[in-house]
Amino acid sequence: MTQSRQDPPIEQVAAYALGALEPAEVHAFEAALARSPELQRELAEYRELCAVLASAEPDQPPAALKQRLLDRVRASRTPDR
Amino acid sequence: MASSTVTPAPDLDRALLLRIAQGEEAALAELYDHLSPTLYTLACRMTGEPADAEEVVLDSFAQVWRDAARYEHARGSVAAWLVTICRSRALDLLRARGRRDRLSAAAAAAPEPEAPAADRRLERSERCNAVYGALAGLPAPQRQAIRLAYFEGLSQSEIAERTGEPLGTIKSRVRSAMDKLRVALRPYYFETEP
Repeated sequence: MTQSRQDPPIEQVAAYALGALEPAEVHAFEAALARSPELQRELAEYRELCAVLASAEPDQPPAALKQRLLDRVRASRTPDR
Repeated sequence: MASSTVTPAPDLDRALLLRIAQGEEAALAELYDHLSPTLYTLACRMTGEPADAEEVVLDSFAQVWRDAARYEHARGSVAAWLVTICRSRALDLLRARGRRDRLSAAAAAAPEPEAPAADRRLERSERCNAVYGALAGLPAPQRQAIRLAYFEGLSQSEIAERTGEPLGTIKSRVRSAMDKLRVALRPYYFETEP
């Protein structure tokens, strides 16, 4: 019982982009999102913001990681791909 | 073009994704070169363990390899899509290991990250400095709310519980902080007009 009223979806977009909505709120928000181009635009912008926040203090991963990725995708390749 | 482009333009990211969707490994390698530092840093910050962060980055790019054809440009840039995937994989890992609380305690005790080194590539360090500046410009309670939500994956009610503040207060802080960050950081988006 953390919630007695539903917040308007437009006020939930930022929290949704952060993944900070409650699981119980997500379903209703996503239903509203599917119907609203405005919410979709807002969400797209907050996702850009989240990507930029991630780029604080970028650091190089170990060089070997790239080869591990390429090994993995090679192993997962189907013959006809 | 004479100079080597350090950060491909957003449409180059999209071109890479199209080639990845066709099974071209070289394109995956190129996208990896561009975006793995951002993802790895985020994953390190979220998981607190370089080894876990490597797995998260691997899983994220492996998912890009599988799902490249499902990317929808209307929903945002390729970088934003990858960051969403990466955060989701990191949160899966945190939940699976049930370490959220332990990590959160460690993160709460950890000092603020150092300012970025001066020798980083220009475009990247400009963006990085802008993020630091924007976060530093927030009132401390707002900054804390963003850190708990973004890097530790707490929901708003979990943040309320953690900080002992009313849920309504936390919701306002999150909204207000995100609005300010959006204004401050819009010029630094990977892609301005999705």
